Amino acid sequence: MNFASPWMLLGLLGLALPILAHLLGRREARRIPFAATRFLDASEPRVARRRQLRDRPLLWLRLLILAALVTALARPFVRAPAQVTVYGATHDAVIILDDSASMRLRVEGTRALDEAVERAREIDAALAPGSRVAWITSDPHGREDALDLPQGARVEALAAWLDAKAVPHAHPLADALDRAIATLGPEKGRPRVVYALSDATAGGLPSLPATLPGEIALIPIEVGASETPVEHVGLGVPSWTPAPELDPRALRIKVPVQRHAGRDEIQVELVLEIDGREEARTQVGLAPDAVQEVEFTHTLMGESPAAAATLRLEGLDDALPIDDRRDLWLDAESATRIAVVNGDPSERREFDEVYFLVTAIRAADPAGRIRVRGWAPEQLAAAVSEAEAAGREPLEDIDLLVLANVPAPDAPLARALQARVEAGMGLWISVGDRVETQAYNTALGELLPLRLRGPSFAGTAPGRSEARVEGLAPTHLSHPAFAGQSEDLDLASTRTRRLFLLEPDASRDTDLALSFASGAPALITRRFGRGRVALSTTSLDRDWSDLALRAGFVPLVDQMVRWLAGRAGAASEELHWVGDAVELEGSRDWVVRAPDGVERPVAAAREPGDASRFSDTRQVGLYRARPAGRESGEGELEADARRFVVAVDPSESDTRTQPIPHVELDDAVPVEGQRPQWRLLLALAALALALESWLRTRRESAKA
Amino acid sequence: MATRRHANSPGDLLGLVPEELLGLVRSRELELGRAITGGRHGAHRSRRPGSGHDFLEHRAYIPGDDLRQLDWRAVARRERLVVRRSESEEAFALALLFDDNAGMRYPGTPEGVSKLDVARAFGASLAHMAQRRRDPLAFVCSGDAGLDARAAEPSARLERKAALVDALDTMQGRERFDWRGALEAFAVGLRRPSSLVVFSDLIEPSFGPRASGEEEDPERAIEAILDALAAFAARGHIVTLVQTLHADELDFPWEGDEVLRFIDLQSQRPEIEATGGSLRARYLERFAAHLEAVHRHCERRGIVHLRAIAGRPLAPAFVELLDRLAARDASEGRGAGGGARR
Repeated sequence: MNFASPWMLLGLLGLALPILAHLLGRREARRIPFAATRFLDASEPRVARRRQLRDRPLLWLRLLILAALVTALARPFVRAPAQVTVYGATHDAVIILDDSASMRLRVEGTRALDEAVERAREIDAALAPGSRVAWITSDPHGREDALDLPQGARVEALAAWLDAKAVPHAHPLADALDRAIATLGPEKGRPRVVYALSDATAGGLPSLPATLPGEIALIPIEVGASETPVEHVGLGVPSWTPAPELDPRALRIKVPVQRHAGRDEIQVELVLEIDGREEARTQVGLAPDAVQEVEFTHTLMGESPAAAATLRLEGLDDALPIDDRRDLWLDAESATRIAVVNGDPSERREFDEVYFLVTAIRAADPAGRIRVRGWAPEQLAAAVSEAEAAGREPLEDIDLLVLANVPAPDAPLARALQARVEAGMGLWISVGDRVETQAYNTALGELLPLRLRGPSFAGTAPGRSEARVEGLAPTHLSHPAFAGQSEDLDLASTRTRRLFLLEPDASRDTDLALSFASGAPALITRRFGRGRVALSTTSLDRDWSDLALRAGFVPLVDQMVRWLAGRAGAASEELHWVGDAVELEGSRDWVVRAPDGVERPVAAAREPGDASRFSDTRQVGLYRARPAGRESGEGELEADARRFVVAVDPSESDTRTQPIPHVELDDAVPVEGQRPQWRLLLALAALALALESWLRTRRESAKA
Repeated sequence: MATRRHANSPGDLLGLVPEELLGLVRSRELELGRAITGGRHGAHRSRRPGSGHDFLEHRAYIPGDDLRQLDWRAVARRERLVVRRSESEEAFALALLFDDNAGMRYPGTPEGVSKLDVARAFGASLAHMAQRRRDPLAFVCSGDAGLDARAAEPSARLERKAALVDALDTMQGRERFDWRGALEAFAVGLRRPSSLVVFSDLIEPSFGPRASGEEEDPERAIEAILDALAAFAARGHIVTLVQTLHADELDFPWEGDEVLRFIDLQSQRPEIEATGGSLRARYLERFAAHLEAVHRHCERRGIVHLRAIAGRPLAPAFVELLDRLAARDASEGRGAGGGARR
């Protein structure tokens, strides 16, 4: 045991005071030889109280409290095994302190971030004389200072900054290396060293390279290490989809609940709050390292177009609390925007490729929340190339693109489509005479649920020539598009004369929505990135099949369109990670209201065409942005108002450790850590104090 | 007040008499209120009518009376035979008992007058007055080796006076005083009625023997002592108890919050640490009850009881002692008359 302030131990001399006072008190007594002592009453209580050490337990307790407090003031510590290694010679150092979200993980009651600060103090104190040091955090918008001599005050300032300003971002530690190297500056004859204080999660030390350019030494220092993986539970990014089969304003809200590490199954409580009011609560059983997707259905009430939803875990002493809560905006009013590309237009409606499709969509949407626009294939290509030329995301205002009997797109268009689907757009491809197998497989082969084998006539099996049509098997109601649908769509009487056969591919994760009686897929879907792709193997007009004439066609189209367009939650495109800037339309001033209710103005962009940037996204939660000058109000349903969510990147919830690059360093000195012990002493003093109070109260009540 | 021996009078009882009492001792005569039946003629009235000077009474002549006792002038006046009776004056022994237990040393400081000093002064004064009348002396006190009872038998010889001076001079207060031994010595030594004057504080006397380990109850010891003294009174001795106390014992002058440690002078009791203020009221109450009990016991047993207080003027107490010794007891006078008629 060592002491940081050993002179404080002089205070232990104070322990002698009560005893000394007692002894001095005893010596005071004047001796009186007396004959009539037998008439003196020796049992007089006040005398006994004053003259005797009547409450030895109390005295010892009080002495113990005093001793513990004095010893705690002397700040005792024990030398811990070397946790930190520093470069032995005088050098220039940049210390990168990881303040990403995963550093909030509590290991044995201490946050990795707090341990990192403790290590930082040790490094600061241990650097060779004359060394210069700069501190930076892994947050690119975080604290950064210049090279200077080591100084405890700077570490304390850094700790204070971390307490007040650090955001749980997800930037990998490696991203900070460039800034660290820039801070170190060019070689000036002194060794240059980068210390990295971080955990062993994917974005921490394992993201670092083994060596740095320019003979800069890299010393990784792991914090938050634990022998066994630390157990915690977190929520993934929630999403919602409309559930019109339940109610025009009904929604399905889904959230993955993930448990990291652990033993045995546990139950956690998940609560759904809408606009601050608890709406639902459920128990989720979680096996170790398991993910459970929880789905709530909710019908939006009232006039408000949007509702603020919060999902949070309750009754859990979680080691990583930052991902125990997720927010999302629910929006029953947002329109679904569909672009239908007509590959075979016709003057006569019944022969038009998309007539039945569009009619079915309109029929299923009496409220008019689906906006359909029709394009020719050339128009699609033009829209994409125009957007790319303007530097905009192509097709960004389209939720679902239908390619109805369209010739195979060229490579740039195919790439744009693939990127857009990956970002969340829905794509429905239906075949017909203009679909060429080879060209489609080349252009969209990656995107298709299954590659095309080629068109085929129904019932052409050897020896069968009379039955030249194919019926449909019962609807696959297990398909996610048919969630909530309990009855068969009654398409069995469909007669299909021609269809595309597909190449089987077990590696693609596909879902079958409709199949022919022979077993060949009729409508097959696949998730691709955040978007969804559907492929009909027969035409949507009457050329190849009479599917469009069947009664079940309208609900089929309705469900399929909603599912395909039901972006992985409308929230997804308005989801930003904490600390990241949010771009707003740059032609005007904005006012952004943060989750804490404070409104912050955002000025219009200086250059025309630029976007305004709102960068104060330190708080996790729901944000509203409205053009400046508009009154805020609950009933704000403006086309130009924006709502977005700022959340913690779920990748930071993954606290599994990865191997750390091993660094060989010739001139390294391990630093002994100091494990402060004064908390223990304070706890002891508090315990003794409680005992003393109890004892004293008991004595007093006994006396009374 | 000087109580110790005067430097200019070695071997003399007067040397032990404090100046305060010297005048009284010189001017007063020792008188005994009750007629006593002494062993031989002396300066004291005798119960036995005899040839003294002082007229006692006339009574009718009874055949067999000494004709020399006929009062011719009274016979002539009354025209019948009357006998003149006069008080006989007889020699009277003064027996002194000094309970010089350690408690009598209080306060034990050179400048203070101790209870033992008072006993010594009174004893020396009485002895001097008795010796002036050639009365025999007897005394008992503690010696170097236990009880010194060699002088328990009265003697009028000069050696006795010298022995008393010597004993008083060296008397310093021993641990315990052997009451039983002292009273037994007097019971043997005082064959004729005498005046037994007892000096004691009677606070915590020992009247052994007692079983080993048994705590002696001081109250019962006091009663036993007084019973024994009463037996002396019943045998015709004049028993006077001079309870020698100190003013501090009566007043308990410690009232404040100072913590005091009281040490038993007789080493019989544990030390007591306390503030005087916390002890005083209870002590005064108990001590007053004790004095009252002693006084009551004495009255009941026919023992003359008075107090001499060290630390206060001694002359009044000594005058009272002389007066009480000289007081004529009416009932005793009648008894004497009755006895004469026989």
